[in-house]
Order: sequence, then structure tokens, then C-alpha cells
Amino acid sequence: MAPLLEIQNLEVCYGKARVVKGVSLQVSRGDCLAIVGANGAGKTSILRAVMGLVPAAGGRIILNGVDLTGRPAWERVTGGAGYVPEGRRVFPALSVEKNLLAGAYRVADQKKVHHSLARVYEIFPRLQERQRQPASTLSGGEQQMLAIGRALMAGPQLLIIDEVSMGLAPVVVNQAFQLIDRLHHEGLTVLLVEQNARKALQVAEWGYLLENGKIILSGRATDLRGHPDFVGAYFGRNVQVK
Amino acid sequence: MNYWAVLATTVGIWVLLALSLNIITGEAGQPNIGHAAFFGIGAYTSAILNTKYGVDFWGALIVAIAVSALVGAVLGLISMRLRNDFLAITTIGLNFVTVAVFQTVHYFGGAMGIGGIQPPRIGGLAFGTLEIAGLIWVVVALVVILNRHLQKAWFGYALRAIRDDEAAAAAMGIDVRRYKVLAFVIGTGLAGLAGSIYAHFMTFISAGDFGFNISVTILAMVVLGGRGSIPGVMLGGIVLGMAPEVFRFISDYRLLVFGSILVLVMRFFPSGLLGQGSRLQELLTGFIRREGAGARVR
Repeated sequence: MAPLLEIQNLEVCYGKARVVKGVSLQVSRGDCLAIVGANGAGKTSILRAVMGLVPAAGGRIILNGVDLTGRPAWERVTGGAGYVPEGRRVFPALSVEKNLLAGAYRVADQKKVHHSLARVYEIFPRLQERQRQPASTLSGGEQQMLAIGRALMAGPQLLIIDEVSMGLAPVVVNQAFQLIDRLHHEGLTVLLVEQNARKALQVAEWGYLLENGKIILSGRATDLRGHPDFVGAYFGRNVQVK
Repeated sequence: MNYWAVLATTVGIWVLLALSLNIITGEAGQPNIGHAAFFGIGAYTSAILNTKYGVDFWGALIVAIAVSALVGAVLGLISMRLRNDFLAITTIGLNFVTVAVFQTVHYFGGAMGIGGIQPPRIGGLAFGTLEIAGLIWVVVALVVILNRHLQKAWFGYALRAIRDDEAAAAAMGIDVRRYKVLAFVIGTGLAGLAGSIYAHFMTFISAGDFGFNISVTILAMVVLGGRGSIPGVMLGGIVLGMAPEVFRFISDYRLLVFGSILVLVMRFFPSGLLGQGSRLQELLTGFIRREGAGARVR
């Protein structure tokens, strides 16, 4: 069966700086895949290119068998991708519920929208309690729930999550990863980008290690965790792993 | 009576301009410091059609809206490539270019402006100041109704999402380009409408009526009242539209007082008088809620 998402030789440039240098990877249905790497490795740029928020300077992005390279962002959403951006990026002036409804922007069927809303409230009862509050009044953890809930509203087949742990307290980080694990086990395909590699590789089945815009290591998450190159990418090459 | 009708018309035109800019700047969050350009484009289109080609007010009005909206659509497309301060400077430039064209091109009357514009008429009845005042406030009411509908429809959510975070809005599948262009089209079209009424009300226009200071005044109305708030923006238009009259007695010091009020409001009401989260707005909604609750208990 064709993969749900296929990235072929992706290149992303900001001006003259090439930050993603020929990355290829595949996400099959039901997978949970993590791209890990240090700050500035190009992880977020890959996701932004997948979502059409930055143009791909080269390569192709194929979602659900459709080549979306060069197509506008909204076609990725109708194509089945839900996106949780880095730093949450909720709409601060809109209420919690309107933030969620914005996530269902591309869903025409109101029944489906109500169904998604009920499901999101079931997953995050806290959001229902605060449905009328402006999103800016939520705590960091609640905003992260809202960002994930908003991405779920369109009923995506592929959930793309960028740095879910960023700026959150350790307890909340654990909850966020438990939630991702739950969504994955309920059948959702997940593509994660994380600096917190240890956590990400506990949840993910497959891992890709990115360094300077290139994938230098990939494989089963369990194999990756102890790999010397993996530690080297974060701490430098001469660190001993115990 | 005549004085009040003229004042009502002038204030009505300011309110309409403030409402129109609010769609672009307040709702969609796109800076536009050259809004008077569209006011001018509407006024000149209407004036030229009326004086050179004998088109009556109603026909000229529609063309004026269309021409302003068309130029607005181009600016909307430009806004896809330019962000924030760059877009703001582009709009200022557009204002200066428009005024320069009106001032120097003979076809537009040059420095002499365009005179002899016919007032609106229905059948044999020519509108006097009172009828024009009625017309402008009917238009304001219609625009408020339209604006309310847009705010509550998907269009409103989409615009506010774009204003809050453009990239996140795009990632939700909102077609940012379409909505930005639409916001510019509607906002500039309404400014053109205000311009057309202005031209037929004044019967004489010149480039100076649409200068940069007018753009800044319109923007001040939106910011003072509260970006995105319809009652707020209307209040801003009324307060700043009336200010020159209210402060007439201090003549030369008018601008000083005017500016000081703006500074004070921004200090104590940073989101505008009736903007989201402003103290006045919270007081009012709290009051309305208490009243409502009281009514239910009774």
C-alpha cells in the first residue's frame, strides 16, 4: 500500500541558507514517526514545507498519493493532514471554541463538525470548561491541548506535531506524550518533530535523526535510542554513552 | 438645522470611513495608513463620471465602489508578499501617489480640483443637506448590518484568525490569500462609497481632501474606538469627527488638545475605548449582563 505521506529529496532554503538538504522519508498508515535532532537541525522547516507554509526549494511532497508540491497550504488540510505548530500558535483573541471551529474550517458537513467538537471535548474536558474564554487566558499546557484539539477538528488521517514539549512543565510534557500515544493507538498516523528525543522515541515506532538538514540515522525507535551517533548529534561526537 | 445636517453628514462620512478601514485593519489585521487614497479614488471616479460624462449620482456611486475595490484588490494581492511595516509603508506611498496624480494630471482637474458636481437626485427631487445626511446614515446602518453578518459568518472567524496568526490560519486550511483580498476589496469598496457621497455632498473636491493626514485620522478613529469592535469604531469616528467642532472655541490649540486626547486614551485604554478587554467595554458588558440577570429574576 502506498504511504500516507512521502517526502522525496526535500530541500528548503531561507534566502541563500539551505536548511533542509535532500530529506526523504515515508510515513505509512498507522505509523508513529519521530524526527529528532538538535536545535537548528531543520526539523521544523521540514514540517512547514510539508504543510505548505514555506515553499520547497526542491523535491516532492506526496500526501495520500497526491503530489502537493507547490500547492497552497489548505490543500494539505483537505488532503488529510492536521498540524500542531511549534509554539502552539492558538488564536489569542478568539474563544477556545472558536479556535476549535477554525480547525474545522475545511469541513462543510456541520454534523461532522459537531461530532469532532464533542470528541475533542471528551479528550480534553478542560477545554469544554473554558470554551468561552479567550485562548490567551489559557495556561501553556491548556494552549497545547487547544492546539492539538484544533488540529483534530478537521478529522485528519495524519497528525503532524511540532515540538509538543516546548515551554511546558515536565508533568504536562508527560501528559502530552501520553495523549499522542493514545491517539496513535486509536488509529491515527502521527508525525512528530521533537527536541526531547528521549520522550519522542518512547512514543514513536520509527525515528529519524536530523543533523544540519540531513538525515544521518534512521530506524526503529528502540534501536536508535542507544546509538552512539544519536548521542553525538546532541552532545558532540566524543561523549561516552553509559 | 442646516449646520446640524452638515455636521451629521460629515460625521457620517467619517464613521463610514472608520468602519471600512476596520474591516482591513481591525478585522484582518492588515496595516493600511493610506486609506484616504480609496476615499479619493471613489470621490474622483464619481466626480469625473458626473461632470464629464453626465452619469447621475447613483450610477457614478456604483462605478466608484467598483473602481476603489479593484485598486483595493491589487493592494490585497500585494499584501500577500509584503508584511506589516513594509505593507504599511506601501499604503502610505499609494496615498501620496494618488494625491500627486489627482493634483498634477489635467484630466483630474489638477490643482484646481473638480467643481460643479451634481447633488444626488431621485426623479425630479435634488437632495439638500438634510436628505444627504439621511442618505449617509442609512448607508452607515446598512454597512453596520453587513459588517455584523460578516463578523458572525465564517468570513469573520477567518479574518480574525488571520489577524491573530497568519501562518496558523493557513495551517488550519484557511485560504489566507482569498480572505485578505476579500477584506481589502470590501474595505476599499466602502471607502470608495464614502468618497462618492462626499463628492456629491461637497459638489467640489480637490486632491488635498484625500491627503495623508486624512488617512492618519481614519486610522486614529479605528485605534481610538477599538480595532475590530463595530460600536467602538463608530464611537471613534463620532468623537474624532466631532472634535474639530467641539474644540472650535480654542481655535489654534485644537490640534494640541486633539493629540493629547489620543495619547491619553492610548495610555489608559490601549485596546481602544470599546476594544476587546478594555475597561469601558468590560464595564458596559458587565452592566448589560447584570441588567439581563436582574430581568430574568424578576
